[in-house]
Amino acid sequence: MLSAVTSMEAHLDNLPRIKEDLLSVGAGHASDVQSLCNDVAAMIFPSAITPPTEATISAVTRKLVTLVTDIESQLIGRDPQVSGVSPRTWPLLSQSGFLRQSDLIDFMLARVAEDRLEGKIASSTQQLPAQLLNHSDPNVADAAQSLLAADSMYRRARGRSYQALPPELLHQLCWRLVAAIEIDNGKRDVAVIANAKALLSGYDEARTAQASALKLSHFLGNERRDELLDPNIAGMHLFVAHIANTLEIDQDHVLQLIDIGSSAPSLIILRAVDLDPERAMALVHLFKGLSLTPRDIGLFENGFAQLEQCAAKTEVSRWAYARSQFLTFPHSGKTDI
Amino acid sequence: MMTGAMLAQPIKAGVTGDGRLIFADDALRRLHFRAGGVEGGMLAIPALRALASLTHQLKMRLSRAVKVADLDEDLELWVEAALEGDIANLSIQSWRASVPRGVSTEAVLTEQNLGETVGISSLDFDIGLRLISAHGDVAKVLERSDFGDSAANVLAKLIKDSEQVGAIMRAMVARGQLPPITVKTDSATILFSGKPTYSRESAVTGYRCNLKFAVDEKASNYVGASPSYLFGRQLAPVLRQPLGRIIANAETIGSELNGPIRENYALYAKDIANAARHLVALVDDLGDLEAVERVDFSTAKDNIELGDVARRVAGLLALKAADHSIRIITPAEYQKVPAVAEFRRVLQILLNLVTNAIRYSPDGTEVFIAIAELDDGPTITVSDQGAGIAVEDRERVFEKFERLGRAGDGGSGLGLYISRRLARAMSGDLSVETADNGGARFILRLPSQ
Repeated sequence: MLSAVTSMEAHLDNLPRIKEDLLSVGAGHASDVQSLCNDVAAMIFPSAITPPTEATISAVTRKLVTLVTDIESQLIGRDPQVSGVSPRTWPLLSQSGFLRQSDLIDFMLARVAEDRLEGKIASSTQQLPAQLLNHSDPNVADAAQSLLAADSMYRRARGRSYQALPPELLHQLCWRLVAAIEIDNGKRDVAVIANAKALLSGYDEARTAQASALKLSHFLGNERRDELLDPNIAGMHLFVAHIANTLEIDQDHVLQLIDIGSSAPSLIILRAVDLDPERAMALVHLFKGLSLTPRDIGLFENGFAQLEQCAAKTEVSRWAYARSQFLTFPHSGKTDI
Repeated sequence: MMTGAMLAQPIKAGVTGDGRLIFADDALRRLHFRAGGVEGGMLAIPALRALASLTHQLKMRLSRAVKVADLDEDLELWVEAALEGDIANLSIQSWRASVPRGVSTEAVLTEQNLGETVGISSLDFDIGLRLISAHGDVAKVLERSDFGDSAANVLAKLIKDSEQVGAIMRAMVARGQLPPITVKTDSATILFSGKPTYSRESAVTGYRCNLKFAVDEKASNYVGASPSYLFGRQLAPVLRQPLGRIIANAETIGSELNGPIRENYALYAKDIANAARHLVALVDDLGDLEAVERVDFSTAKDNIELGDVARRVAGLLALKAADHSIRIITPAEYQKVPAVAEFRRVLQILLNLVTNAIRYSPDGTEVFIAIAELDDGPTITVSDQGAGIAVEDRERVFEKFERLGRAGDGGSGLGLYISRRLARAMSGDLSVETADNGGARFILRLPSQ
């Protein structure tokens, strides 16, 4: 009897601590449930379920404004360096719905993801491309030079944001702007058309960061694979290009999958490229940083080893197919990209 | 697997706006001819023609990786294209050959190591296509009398799909190369390829079939298993384990086993447990969804008795029903309706239907499970006394993620979709109509024995 009373007293003394423990366990589990929801969603519907945040929408809008301003400046012969000028054609293009076109928005979302991920890698100095400038294969050396130049241009040169666009999008955007300027002016201006032609003929896809990174990965093959799969050494463009080249998917898709809040798509991608678990874990640490929870780590430790590489590849291919369907037929129905 | 080397000099070609190849370096000309092209004709390599066409259209300089099929290998090219006047100039800067994706490595294994590789077997036939030798695992399933037998009989013994046997036989008779095809047996998935064998004098001496066992017996016992069942087979177990822990811990908190806590905290813990249970159900549903949507999904043909299934379902859901004071009325013991279907899949469908009936019926009502042998086959029906389903929603309710505007009731909107897919995979069907009392009546039809 006495021992029961003693035990009860001890229990009551510990009650506040027990409550605290239980609540912290409860809060931890609630957070786990939420994260698991995100993981399930991210694996099955990698991007459709993850709506863009306000910050992302704002960043996309800023980039779009810059892009339209830069092209418009080239077309009407205005100095693109002049600050505070808002594009004349913006209202017209917005109203027409062109700026909401799925491939353009997708490209912009990928750039925002790229900015976010680049901010997380150790240094903006790309060690590997710089080393490849002296490669014995002139194609590799040339592509490395193009990549470094494009990256420098992308980061520092104002007024030339359009040079990062893929040719199809630049062509489309350029001629839409020509038409918008014509409507705004109320007449056709041959100088604007001539400027558009000059802009397009001066473009070279090989000089874009994406194409030159892909070319480097193509020519290197498996040479320097370990460095290519380390974004701190290869730089973000080359790291992403190597994954895209290996898995035969789009570079922008890789960026978006890695940038998704959940670490599950990264797990699948890194397994598909056959990265060892320690390096995969290190990469997820790099990209997710403080948002990585013990549950994410557990998922990696358990899931990475259990996941077969061919199954991971199949899943990535399925996502890529769904994405291409969505970009080709954006209004055709449900998609799980 | 990659072969070939980088080019010392780029391979050049010119393509007109209408797609004609007007000049090309030798390697590309030969590739063009191998692809069926003619001198001065349309460029017969679609990927290159598309790139040239895009260059004409955009009038911009392009730089792309291009994949081209050439006989039994793929070529990976890096091509830069620019418009000069009316001609799109293509400059191929790398030219690499690779084994096409999806082709097994055994296609490039040598005869010497073929028999030694684990999971790889071969069958050798003579000029008359009679089996003369077998190596590897496949030898274990053949009998002495099979040697000397015709290829058609041997293959029919190994492969159940007569169309696939026919396809393989056609290649063998034509003494042609058989590209790898996937064939299924009872216990394994096999990547099957073949090629004629030759003497030193290059005369055909017979035919060799190579078999690579892609899935072992253990894996194929998993219902709907396939190496690429990513979610159901690989990720779902990983997700279920922590969810199970969450449910157990939340239940511990909620039931105050470690001491009293404030009532609202206990309710939060129960909410956590319920949320995790919902996720477990969702994980199960998504695993099933992945399985039923695969083209190779199939079900077993068991001889089952529908009354037995109905009573088992009622037993499994009795407690859940009792929580809502709902009675589940099952068929009488003596009533028996046999059917042909996979037992556990029928159980899964009925569990889903009865769970829905309990979820959407008012407390204190009854759910009826009835069985019957009708003209169009055995049927099992689940009727409730709920609000029923409007005529215009009766097809919509079977669509994926369709909740008919309901939310927060623990459903995923996948159950009925999966159930109908399962019913149809078993050569049956699932439909809904209005019950006599105005509720919903789901009718599962199955093939008879």
